[in-house]
Amino acid sequence: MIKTTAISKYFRTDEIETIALNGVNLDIAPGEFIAIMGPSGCGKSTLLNIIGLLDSPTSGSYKLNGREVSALKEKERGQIRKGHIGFVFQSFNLIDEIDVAHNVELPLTYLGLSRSERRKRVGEMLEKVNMSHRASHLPQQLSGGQQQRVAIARALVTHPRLILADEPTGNLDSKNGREIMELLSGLNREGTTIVMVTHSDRDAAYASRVIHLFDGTIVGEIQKKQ
Amino acid sequence: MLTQKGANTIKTISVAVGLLVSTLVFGRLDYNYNYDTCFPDRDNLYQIWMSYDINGEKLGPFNSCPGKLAECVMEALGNDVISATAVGRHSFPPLFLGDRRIDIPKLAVDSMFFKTMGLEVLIGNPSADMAVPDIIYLSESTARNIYGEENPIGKTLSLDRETTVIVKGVFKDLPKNVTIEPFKALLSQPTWRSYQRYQEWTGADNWLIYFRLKPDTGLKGEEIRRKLNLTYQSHVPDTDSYRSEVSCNPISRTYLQYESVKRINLVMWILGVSLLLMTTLNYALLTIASLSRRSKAIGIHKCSGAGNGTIMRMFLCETFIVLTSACVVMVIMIFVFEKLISDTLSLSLDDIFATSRLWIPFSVLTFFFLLGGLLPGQIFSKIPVTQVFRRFTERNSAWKRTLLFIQIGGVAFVGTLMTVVSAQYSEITGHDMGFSVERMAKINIPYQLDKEALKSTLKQLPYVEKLTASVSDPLWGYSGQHIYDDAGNVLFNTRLEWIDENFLDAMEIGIVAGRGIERDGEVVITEEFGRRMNLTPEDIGQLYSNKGFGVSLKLVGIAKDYQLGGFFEELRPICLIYGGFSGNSYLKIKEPFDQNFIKLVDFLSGTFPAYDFAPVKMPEEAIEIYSDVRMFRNSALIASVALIFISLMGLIGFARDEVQRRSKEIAIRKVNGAEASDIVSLIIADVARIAIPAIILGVLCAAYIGHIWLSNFSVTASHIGLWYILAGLTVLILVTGCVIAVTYRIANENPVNRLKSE
Repeated sequence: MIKTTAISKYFRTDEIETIALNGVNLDIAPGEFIAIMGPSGCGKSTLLNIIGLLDSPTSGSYKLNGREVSALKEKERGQIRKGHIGFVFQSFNLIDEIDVAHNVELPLTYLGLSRSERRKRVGEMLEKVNMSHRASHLPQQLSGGQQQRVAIARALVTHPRLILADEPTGNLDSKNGREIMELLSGLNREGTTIVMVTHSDRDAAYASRVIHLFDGTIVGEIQKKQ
Repeated sequence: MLTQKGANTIKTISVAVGLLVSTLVFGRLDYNYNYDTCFPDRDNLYQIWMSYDINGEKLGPFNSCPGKLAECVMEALGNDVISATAVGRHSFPPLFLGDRRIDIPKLAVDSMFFKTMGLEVLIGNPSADMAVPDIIYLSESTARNIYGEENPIGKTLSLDRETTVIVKGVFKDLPKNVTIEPFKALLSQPTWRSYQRYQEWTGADNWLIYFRLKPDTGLKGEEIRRKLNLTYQSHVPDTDSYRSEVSCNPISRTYLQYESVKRINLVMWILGVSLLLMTTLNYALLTIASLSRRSKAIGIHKCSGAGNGTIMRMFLCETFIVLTSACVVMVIMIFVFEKLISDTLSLSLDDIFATSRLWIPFSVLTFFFLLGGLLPGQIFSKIPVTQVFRRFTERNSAWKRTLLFIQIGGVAFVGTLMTVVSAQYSEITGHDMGFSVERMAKINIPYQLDKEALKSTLKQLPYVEKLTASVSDPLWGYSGQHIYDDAGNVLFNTRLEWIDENFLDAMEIGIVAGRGIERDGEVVITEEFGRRMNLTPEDIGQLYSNKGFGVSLKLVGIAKDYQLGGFFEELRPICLIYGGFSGNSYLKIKEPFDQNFIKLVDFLSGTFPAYDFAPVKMPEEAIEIYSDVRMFRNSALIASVALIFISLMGLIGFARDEVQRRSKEIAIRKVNGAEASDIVSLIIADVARIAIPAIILGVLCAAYIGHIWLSNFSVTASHIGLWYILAGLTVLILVTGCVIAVTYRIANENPVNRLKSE
C-alpha cells in the first residue's frame, strides 16, 4: 500500500539546513498497524505528514497504492487525501466554532454527498465511538477523551483505507488513552491500515510492527508475533 | 507596534488620505458658509429679489431687478434705511493704459454704493466721485498691478481708447466668496452714458439692488416686504394676468438660499462626515482586528503591572504616532497635488488653509485621535491577564462586523453617488441642446466697427465655413419679453433674441416648418411658443402682432425647441427677430478646428489691434457653464476614491486577520479534504453576509441623495436605476476581489505549516 524509497526531507533557512529525514525506506502492507517511535525531533511527525500527503519529500520516491505521489502539488495531494486518508492528531484539532456533528461531517462536505447521506454517516460514526449523546455539543464542552473520540469519528467518516495518528493519546490520561487505543485496534481488526506515531511503549504494544527512527533514519524494526 | 511595518504603512496612508480629503471637503464647506462675510453688519445689508406670476406661470425669484427699485426702497422704508444702491451690470469695453490693454471685470455704481455695501475705501471720496461721469475706482491689487508702488490717484485710463476715465479712488479687494458680481474696478454710473435709459420701474431688469437698514430699526423681514410691495404696486400695479412681487433677504442668507447650493452643501456634508468617520473607524478596525495577535503581549504587560489606564495610554500613544506620520504624508500630498486640489475645489490652498479656517484641520485631527485611540484602547484594556497562558479566542466579533458593515456601506454610498454625478455630468455635457457648438467660435462684434464690412471680411476667410450673429449667446440665455393677449393681459414671458440671417442654419437649429429669417420685419418662433399661442405651420406667412413687439412681424418659420443657459431650466418659448450682424458673431470653423481658431485669433488681433473681439471656443464654453457641476463631480470623485481606498485597506486588514484567526480551522478543513476554492468560498461567504446588506443600504441612501441633487436639472441621465445597480455590483466585485486576493495564498498553503504553528 505504502512504499517509500530513500525519502529525505530537509528544512532550509538562510543560515541553517535541518535534515528531518534521511533516506527512509518503508514498506507498509494493507491492514498493518504500524507504530513509529523515536525521541523528540527524530522526524516521526515529518514522516507521518509525508505519508499522509500533508507534505512532500525533498527527494526520494513515495508510492501510494502503486502511484508515485512524491512530486505532486498541494492541489493534487488534496485530491488524493480526500476520502482516502483519515487523520487523528495529538491536540484533536476540532473546530471550536461548530458542534460535534458538524465536526464529524466536515470531510463529507467536500465529497459532494447529499445532506441525508452525510447525516446518516455522521450518525453511524458517532454511534461507533459512543458519542451520539453529545452530537450538538461544542468541542470545548467535552473532555479530552471525548474530543479524541470525535476526532477519530471524523477520521473514519469517509471510510478511508488508511488512518494516520500522530500521538493520539498524548493529551489524554491513561484510562482515556487505553480506550482510544482499543478503538484504533478494533478498526485495524476490521481492515483499516493504521500508522501511528507515539512515544508510548504501551501504545506501541497495540501495533503489529514497530519502527524506530533516530535522527531521520530508520534504525530498527520489530515485527510483533500475531 | 513598530514591528508591524506593513500594517503600519497601510494605516498611515489610509489615515493620511482620509483625513486630508475630509479636511478639504470641510474647508470648502466652510468657504461656502462664509459667503459675503466681508460686508460689515451683513444681517442689516439686504438684497432685493423680484418674482413674477404671469398667468399662473411663476418665474423667479431673480436678483436682476428694474433699476428704479433703489428709489422704491427709499420711498418705502424712509428713515429706517441708511442708504440704497443700484449696481449696473453692463458689458463695458476693456481699459487701456496707453497701448497696454487691461481686461478686468467692472461694474457701474452710484454714489451710495460704498456707503450701502460697507466696503473699505482706502483712498477717495466715493459719495462725491461716483456722482460725476468718467471716474473710476480700482481695487488695491489692480492698482498695484497697473501702477506698481506709484500713487494711482489722478492718473487716467481709457475705455476702449475712446473715453478717458480718471482714477479717483482705491478700495480694498473683495474675497472670492461673495455673491455680488465679481469686480476689480468700479465706474461711476454717469460714465455709462445711457444708464438712465435703463433705470425703469419695470423691464430693463439688469440691476442689483441693495439697501442697508439702520441697526436700531425695529423692522422685520415681513414688514419690510409688505412696505416694499405696497410702494412698488403704486408704480407697477398688478393685473389679473401679471403679478410681480418684491422680496428681500439679508445678504448673509443669499448664497445659502440657492437651491443648488443647498443641495451641493448637503452632499458635501455627507461626503465629509462619511470620510472622517470611515477613516477613523477603519483605523479602529485595523487596530482591533489584531486583537488575537496582540492579546498575549497585552496579558504580559498586565502581568508586569500595567493597569487598564496604562494600556489605554499605550493605544493613545500609538494613535498619536500614526497620526503624526499621517500628517507628514498629508503635507507631502498637499504639495504634490496642489494643482489638482485647487482645480477640484476651485479654491487656492491659501483659501482652504486660511488662518480663520485652521480650526477645521485641528478639529478633524482631534476627532480622529480621540475616537481612533479611545475605541481600540477601551477594547484592548479589557483583555484579562490570563491571556498570557491561554490562546485568545474571539467569541463575539459583532463590533468588527458592525464596523465593516459601516465601511462597506459607506463605500457603496459614495461610489454610487460618484457614479450618478459622473453619469449626470456626461449626460448634460453631451445632451443635444437643440443647437450645435461643434467647431464654433464666438467673437464679440465691436460697436465701433462697420459691421457689414466686418461681416464681409470674415466670410471671406478660407477657414470660415459659416457665419451668423445674435445679440446674446444661447449658452448663457436670452432676454425676456412679455407676450400679451388681445385684451392686453400678459399671457407669459417669452425669451426674445435678435439674430442675423443664416442663424438657424449656422447653429444647426432644426426647422419644423417654413424657413429662417432673411430680413427685417420677420419672426421665427419655436415649437413651445407655437404651442402656447396656438400657432401652427398654417400660420406661416401671416402677419403676427403682439403688444410685446410693438410692431407686426411676418411669421416665416417655426423652429425646433432649443435649450438656453444649460440644462438647469425647463425649455422656454423663444421668439427670434431680425437684428442684423451685431452683438456676438458665430463662426463655423473648418477642420482642423484648433489650428484654424488660432489663425482667426491672430487675424483679428493683427487686423484690428485696437478692438477686443474676446474670441471663445464654444465647445469649451458649453462645458464651462457646468463648471459648478464639474467641481462637484471632481470633489465627489476624489472623495469616493479616497473612501474606497481607505475602506479596501480596512477590508484587506479585516480579511487578513480573519484568515489569521481561522488559520487552524482552515488547516483542519484542508486536511479533511477542502480545496483552495472551498476555503476561499468560506471566507467570501462570511464577508458577503455583511457586504451584501451593507451595499444595498448604501446604494439606496445614495439613490435618495442622488434624487435630491438630480432635481437641479431639467434633463437627467437615462437608465439611472441601472447605474445604481452597476455601482453596487462594482463594489461587490471589489470586495470579493480583495477577499480572494488575501485568502488565496493561505488557501493554497500547505496545511501542515498552520498545524505546526498551532
